[in-house]
Amino acid sequence: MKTDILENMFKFYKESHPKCDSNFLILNKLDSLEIGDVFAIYGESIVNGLIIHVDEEAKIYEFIDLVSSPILGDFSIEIQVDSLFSNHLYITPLTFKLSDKQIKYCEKVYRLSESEMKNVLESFNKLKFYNFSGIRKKFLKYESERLEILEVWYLAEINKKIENHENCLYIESSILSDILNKNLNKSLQEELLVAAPTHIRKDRYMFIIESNKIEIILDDELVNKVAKIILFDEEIYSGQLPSYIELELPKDYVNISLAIVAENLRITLDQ
Amino acid sequence: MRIKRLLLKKEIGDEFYNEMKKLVATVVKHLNYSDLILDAFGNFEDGIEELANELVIHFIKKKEKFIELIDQYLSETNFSLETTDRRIYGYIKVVTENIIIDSLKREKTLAKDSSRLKMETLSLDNDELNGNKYERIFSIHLENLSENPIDELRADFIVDLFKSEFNTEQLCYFLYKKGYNKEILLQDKSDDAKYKIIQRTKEKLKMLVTKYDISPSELKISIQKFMSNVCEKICHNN
Repeated sequence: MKTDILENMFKFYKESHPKCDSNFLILNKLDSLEIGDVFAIYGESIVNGLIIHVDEEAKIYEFIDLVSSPILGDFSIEIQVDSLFSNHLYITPLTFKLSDKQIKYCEKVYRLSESEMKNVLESFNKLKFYNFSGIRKKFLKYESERLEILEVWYLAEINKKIENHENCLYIESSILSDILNKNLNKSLQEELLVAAPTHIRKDRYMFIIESNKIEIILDDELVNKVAKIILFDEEIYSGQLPSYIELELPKDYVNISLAIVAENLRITLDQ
Repeated sequence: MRIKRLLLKKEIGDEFYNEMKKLVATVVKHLNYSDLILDAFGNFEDGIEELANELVIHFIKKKEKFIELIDQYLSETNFSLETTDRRIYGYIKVVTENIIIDSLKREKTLAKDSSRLKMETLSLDNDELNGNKYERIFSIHLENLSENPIDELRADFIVDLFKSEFNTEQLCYFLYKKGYNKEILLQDKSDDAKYKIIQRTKEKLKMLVTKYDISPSELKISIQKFMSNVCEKICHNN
C-alpha cells in the first residue's frame, strides 16, 4: 500500500516550520497594515498572513494565516505573491491578531485587489466552518501551536484591557446551562469540538474562548446601542450593549467548540 | 555565513548550483516526490538539475533582498550566528519546496493525460447527511475541478485504499451506475442485491472520504484512476 503523501508533507512542514518563539526579526519597515495586505514575519519559521480586519482605534490587525504548503489541497485556495520565499500561499481557516506593537516585525509582500479579496473571503468563510479530519486536522492543530505565541501576546493585551474596563457584561453559567442542554446534541458537540478555533470574528463582534469562559468583544459602533443578545433563539440579555461580554461556561461545556456558539449567538439591535 | 558568501560572489557559480542541487534532492527525498519528478521530467537526474536551476534563478532574482534579510539578522545582537544560520537554512528549505511545487504544476504532464475517462458528475447526495462537509464533497461537478500534481500523488494512495477496502467489482458497478447510469458486471445479482450494494458502497465511500479528508479534486482523480486502471481491466477480462 502506498503511503499517504499528506503524511510526508506534514512531516516536512513540521521540520521546515518549527514552532515560533518570541524572537522575531525586527524590520521596522511599516507603520500600519491595511485590509488586503499580505505580510511576512521572520521568526523561528516564517509567518505569512492576509489582513482581513483592522480595528483603527484599538490598533488591532486580524489576519488569515497563509501557508506555502499545499497540504490543504483544493479545500483551500491559492494566492499568487512575489515574496522572497514563495510565489504562492494558501489560505487556512485560522485567524490570528497582531497589535500595533508587533507591526515592527512585518514586511509587506503583496496587496490583494478588491476582487481577489472578495474571492479569498468567500472561500475563507466556507473553510472556517469545515470540519477537517485526519492529517489535515493534525496539520491545523500544529499550525495553531506554531503561531501560539501571537495568540498569547494578543490575549495578554486583551485581558489587560478587560481588567481595566468597567463596561463589561457577565452572563452566568446557570443562564447558559439550560439553553445548551436543550439545544446541543452531545455527540454533535463532541464531533465539532476538535481543531476548533480559539477566536472567531463574526459581523461586528469577536468571540474568544478562554479556559472556562467566552469573551465577546463588540465593535465600537455597537457599544451603548439597545439590543437583544440571543443564543439558540433564546434571549439571554436585553438592554444597552457594553464593550465586552463574558459568558461563563457551565462545567459540562468548558470544551465547547467556539464555532457552535459563534454560529448560534446573535445580537439584534432594537429599532 | 556560507549562503551569503556564495551569493555575494560576482557570478553565482558551480558551488552555489551544487549546493542547491543537494538541497533539492534532500527536499524531494523527504517529501517522497520522486515519482512526480520522474513523471514530469522523464528522468530523475534531469528533474533535480532542472529544479536546482529554477532555485538558482529565484535567488539571482531576489539576491539583494535576500542579502538584506541576512544582514538584518546579523546586525541584531539578539540572534547568534547559529540561530541566524539555522533560520535562514530553514527558510531556504521552504523556498525549495515552493519552487518544486511550482515547477511540477507547470509541467502538468499528468493532468494532460488524455486517455483518462471523462465523467460529468458523480452525485452521491444523501438526504440523511446534510452537513457542510458532505454537501461539498458529494455534490461536486467533477469535470470543473482543477488538478495539481500533489492531488495526483494522493490519488495513488486513495486508489490503493479503494482496492483494500472495497470489493472491486462492486465499486466498479457503483461508479459506472452512478457516473454513467450504465450497468456493468454483477449480472448474476438481483435488483434488490444491487440496490443494497449501491447503498453500502455509498456509505463506505462517505466514511472513507471523511476519515481521510479526501478533497473533491483528490476524489475525482482517484475515481478516474480506479476506473481506468481497475474497472476497465475487469470488464475487459470478463
